[in-house]
Order: sequence, then structure tokens, then C-alpha cells
Amino acid sequence: MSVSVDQTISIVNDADDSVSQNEGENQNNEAMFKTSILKYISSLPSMVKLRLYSQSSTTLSIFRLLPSLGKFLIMGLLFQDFEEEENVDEDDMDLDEDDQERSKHNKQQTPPLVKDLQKWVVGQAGYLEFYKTLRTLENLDIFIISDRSASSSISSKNINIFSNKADESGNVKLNPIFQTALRESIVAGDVHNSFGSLRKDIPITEQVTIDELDTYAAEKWETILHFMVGTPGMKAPDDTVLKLLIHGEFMMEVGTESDNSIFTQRRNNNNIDAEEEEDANDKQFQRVAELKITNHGFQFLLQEINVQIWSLLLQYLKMSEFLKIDIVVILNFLFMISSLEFGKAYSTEKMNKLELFLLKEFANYGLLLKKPNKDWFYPTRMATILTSDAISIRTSSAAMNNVIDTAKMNKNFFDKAHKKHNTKKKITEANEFAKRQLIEKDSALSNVNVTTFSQDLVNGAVIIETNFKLYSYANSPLQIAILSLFVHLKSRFNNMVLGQITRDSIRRALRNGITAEQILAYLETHAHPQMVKLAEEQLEKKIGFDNMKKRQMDIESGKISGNNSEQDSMFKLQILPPTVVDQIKLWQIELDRVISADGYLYSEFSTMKEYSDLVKYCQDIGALVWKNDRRKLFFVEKESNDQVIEYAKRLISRNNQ
Amino acid sequence: MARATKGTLIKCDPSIKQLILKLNVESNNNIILQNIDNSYNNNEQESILLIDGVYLDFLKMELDRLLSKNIYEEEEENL
Repeated sequence: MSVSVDQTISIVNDADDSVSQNEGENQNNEAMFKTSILKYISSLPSMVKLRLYSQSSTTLSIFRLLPSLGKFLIMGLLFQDFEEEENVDEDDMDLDEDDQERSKHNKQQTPPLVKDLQKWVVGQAGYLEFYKTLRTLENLDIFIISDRSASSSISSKNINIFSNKADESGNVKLNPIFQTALRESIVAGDVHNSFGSLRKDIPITEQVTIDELDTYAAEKWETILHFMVGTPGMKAPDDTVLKLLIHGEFMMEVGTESDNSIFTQRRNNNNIDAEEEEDANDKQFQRVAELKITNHGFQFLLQEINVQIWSLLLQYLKMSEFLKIDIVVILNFLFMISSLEFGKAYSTEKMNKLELFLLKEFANYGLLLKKPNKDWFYPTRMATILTSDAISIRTSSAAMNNVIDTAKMNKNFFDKAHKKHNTKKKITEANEFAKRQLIEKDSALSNVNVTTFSQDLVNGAVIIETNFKLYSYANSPLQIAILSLFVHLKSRFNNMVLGQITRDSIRRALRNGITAEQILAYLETHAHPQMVKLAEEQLEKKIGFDNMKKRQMDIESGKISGNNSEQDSMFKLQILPPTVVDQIKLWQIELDRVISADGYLYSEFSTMKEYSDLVKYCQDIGALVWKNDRRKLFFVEKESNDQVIEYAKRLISRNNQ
Repeated sequence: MARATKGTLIKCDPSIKQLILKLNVESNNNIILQNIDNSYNNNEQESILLIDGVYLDFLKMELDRLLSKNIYEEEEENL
């Protein structure tokens, strides 16, 4: 997906109500998440922006986040000096922008006209793209456009920016502070240590490997996600994370008593010893029970990981703003860790108090690893992918897998617990949710075992009929939200929802990257016990019928049958109606009726040898997409074509010798 | 001497191929660069076409539209 296009569109949309651009982040739109950090920076006062841009690592990170045309324009202007800029240092930050502008007007040489820059792009599409990018850059205070013909004063700039008509007048130059900082970062003249200070003297026993870092980061992040999904038995993340989740409206409190708010709970929990852990767990459980995921939060769950990180961090910035913490320090710190090298240790020696605090805060999100009482830290992969949109660790389909896996795990767990209730004490170190379930089971065990079944029902047991109607005994918004991903939900009752699986609903899910297998797996693991029972009965019938038939055949052929147990494996337990299973799979196949590959078709070979030599080579390098020996045709993928041509030339020259 | 033609190779079943041929005629034969007869190749049933890569998205969209026409949509029932 092209970031530039998304961004520019959203800017145009905001044209009429420039005030509302801050609210934009609340919309459940991936594009919004992605570009909102740039928007957020744009919305900051220009004084704050100038302070931001004095850090090389920050300017480099912002540069990396820009759309490609923006990068291109900046690179074009970066090393051009239009006037003597000797006084570019901290003093410049004290000048406000009007002063800067005036001082530049006095200079002799003029920066390039907007119209001249426009010649770098071609066509109508390029024209639109250019002015949108220009607006973005001006908005970020990276470009300073002077000598505007109409209403050229800086104070009215904000109105100009959001007008849909492109203002073609004026000269463009880079913000001198931004320019200096970016030059520094590119030419490696980093004087302010803004890229962190590397530590090489970490003893080997203390060193952390890349794998360890990855698992650490994943664990931290997954804890947050699992907590949001409400996976039973997961440890709750740190309180500051919880606060942020509520603040960002990813989750909301649904407690009845306001005294139970986590904000007050936190105070009570501040001094917890290891011995009191059980007690703490109880408290934690209470708090967990009070937090529910919001729709916004669920959308968030299905985003890619670095979109997720950014949207959380944005919320963090907003909250810090609210708490009157200096955002510049936080942003600079974030951009600093995002440009550190993964797998290397960095010193915390030169950090001030606030930065050390941030270090601790961001460790909660898994952005970095810092062991207590050590003066160094490791950035994790999560931190280093912040400013690159190329890598994504987790996709929506992986998110779905997680849910399925945990559901399976729970089911197994409950089954086990159900079977051996005498070994229950062993599980005490397991989570408090499970504990609670067990306590309830203990009391129920004296009565009838069936009651434990109803425990599973709470998790949203699903019944599917052969007519694609679906009934789910789901109460939790998350269960319903997950179902609504691939089911057309019709009505909701006190303890259940009713829906229909339709072609459209399945296609929607498939387009979102959820596979048919995942949907089926989800349905299977969440199947109502009645469905399982029915399926078991049918299986028994089938096996019985098969055995009967076999015996009859054996009798007819005069043989005595051996053991039947081997035959049992022939039939699988079909919990879901086969019609539904097949149809969902068919809908998936229908989506990709054509398989396509870019590349080159080789044809008109004169001899079979010529053809087979080249085909063999293509096969060896793994570039062959398709071949037809009979017609001497084959197809090579685009990326490897040069290699193939090179080889063909060598073949020809060899043959000519 | 051999020749290399740039394009996008498409694998599909014969019914889809007919639809593509129809779309090709409708857009003045711009889409298909080469119609490859793949019959008798390893007993494969799939059809092979070489098309102009520019039209791939258009083609997929049109196919989706044409195929959706033949789907019976259950009416919304009132509960």
C-alpha cells in the first residue's frame, strides 16, 4: 500500500475542517493510524517543532516516515545553500517564525520557485501529488514557502494550506534547523549524540541475544494484546499500560463501583512483595474483570504491529500532553530509540531523569529491554521498526490464529481439569481466572458433572445449522466482535446472538486476510457441546453401519472378521455440517479464480536443445513459473529475467565457438 | 532464435478463460497478448494466457462482477 496516497487523501478530506484533524486518530482506519504521527507533529506549535528538528535522529526518522515524493523533494533541496547560514544553532530556536522569515527576506539569493520544483513531476496526477506533498511538508514546517503572492503572510498560512486550490506562487526552502540536523545525520557529523551512545563493554554473561530480545518484546506486546482480547489467565500488563488503554479508549471500565477504578487500585497495589503475590493476583483479577475492550480496541487488535505500536504511542503522547510532560523529550527519545541498531547495547549514562523515566515506561511496551540497576539497555525489534513501514511481524490472520490457539489451549485445560480433579492442586500456580473456575467447579462437583459443561458455554458456544444459520451463546463483546468478522449477525438476545453465514460475510473476512481454515477452526473449537455430541453419535452410527456391512460382506465371503479398531480412523469426527465447511472453502477458492505472475514468456525456440538447456537453468535457479515442453514455451518470473538472459547469451556464444 | 515477451501469465480454469476472452473482445483486444493452447500438456486442465499486466486488476474486478451475477442471494428474512 502506498503511504503517500493515503496521507494526501486524508489531508484533502480535512480541508474543510482543519480543526478536526486531531480527532482523526479516533477513526478506525489503518491509513489514519499510519500517517497520524506526522499529523500529530504537524499539529504541534511551530516552536515545539523547531525544538524537535534540532535532533538529528528525529529529523532522520521523520524523513523516513514521509511519502516518497516528499523524500525526493527534501533530498533535492538538502544540500543547496541559498544564503549564508552561519547562525544556525540553538539560538535559532528562540526566534519565532516571523522573525526567521523576515531575516530571510533580507538575504540576496532566492530559493527556487514552487513552479520550478513542480517541473520535477509529470502529468496531472503528479501535479496533484506534488501540491499535496508540498502542503504536508509545509504543514510539518519542513518547507518554508516565502513570497506568496496572495495573502502571503505567515499568520494566514494555516488557512492557505487547507484550501483545495494549489497555490503556485512563492519560493521554497528547507527549514534551516531541519536542514542542518538532517545533513548532520546523513553526513554522519552527529555532534549531539542523538543516536545514543553504544556500549561495548557489556560482560558476556550479561549480554542479550537477538532471539532473547525478540521473545522478550513479543512477550511484552502479546501480554497487552491478550489482555485486550480478554484471554483468561493472562497476566495483566503494567498499570501505566492499562491507564493508557483506557485513555486511548481501546478499553473501558465497566465496574459498578467507582472505587474499584484501577487508578485507586493502583495506589493500594504499589508495594507488593513477592510473598503477597497471590493476594495481588486476586486484586489484579478484580481489575481485569472491570476492563472491557471497545470496538476501537478490537480494530486495533487486527492492525499490523507497527501500526499498533504507533497508535499506542500516539495515545501516550496525548496523555503526556495532558499530564504536562514535555512532548519534545518524548518524541526525541522515541525517534532516538527507533534509529538505534537492533541487538546492540546502549548506555544510559547521559540520560536525564525524564529520559530514564521514559526508558522504564517504554520497557513496559517491549520497545526496549533494561535490566534493573544496570546503566545500559537494548532496543528491541519493535523499536527499530517504528520508522519503517516495510516490516510487519504480525498480520490479522496471525491475530486470528492466536485467538484460536488460546481457545484450544483453554479447552484442553478445562478438559484435563475436568478429568482429574484430584490433581487440581498442581495447577495452583496457574492463573487466577482458572483458579476461580476451579473453585466453582469444586463446589459444583458434589452435584452433577454436567454443570461443568455450562462453564464452557460461557465462552460463547456456537451452533451452526446446515442452512448456514448460526447461534452463539456469547455475552462478551469480543466474542461477538470476532463472530461479526465473518458472520452476518442479525439479532442479539440476552445470552446469545443469532446470525447467518453468507457469501458476503465470508468474503469480507477473507479479504481482511482471515482464511477459511481459520474460520472453520474457530467454529470448531467454539462448537456447542450439543453439536459435538451429535457429531459423536453420527460417527458411532457410521462406524456401526460400516461394521455391520463389513460383517455381512465377511459372512458372504465366508471370512471371520478380525479387529475393527483400525477401521475407526477411517471416519473423522465432523462437528460442523459438511455443507457449511465445503461452502466456506468454495467461497475462498472463488476469490482467487485466476493465478497470475509477472514476468517474461520465452517462445520461438528453434531447437529442442536450446529450449531444454534454458528451461533447466530456469528450474535450477527457481525462476520457472510455467513451461510447455510440447510447444517449447516457458515463463520466467520478472525478478530473475536478467539472470536468464545473461545465461542465454553465454549459451549462444558457447555454441558459436 | 528465442524471443522473450513481457507480460503477466494467468492460470485459470477453462470457464474463466472464456470470460477473459469475452472481456478481451469488449476492450478491443488490448488485454490478451498471447492465447496459449495448453491442452495435452501433462494432462493439465488449466488454461494459460499471457496478458498485459496493466489490465490485471481490471480483469479481476470484472471477473468478480460477472461471477457475482450468477450467485443466488438469499433475501433478508424478518424474524
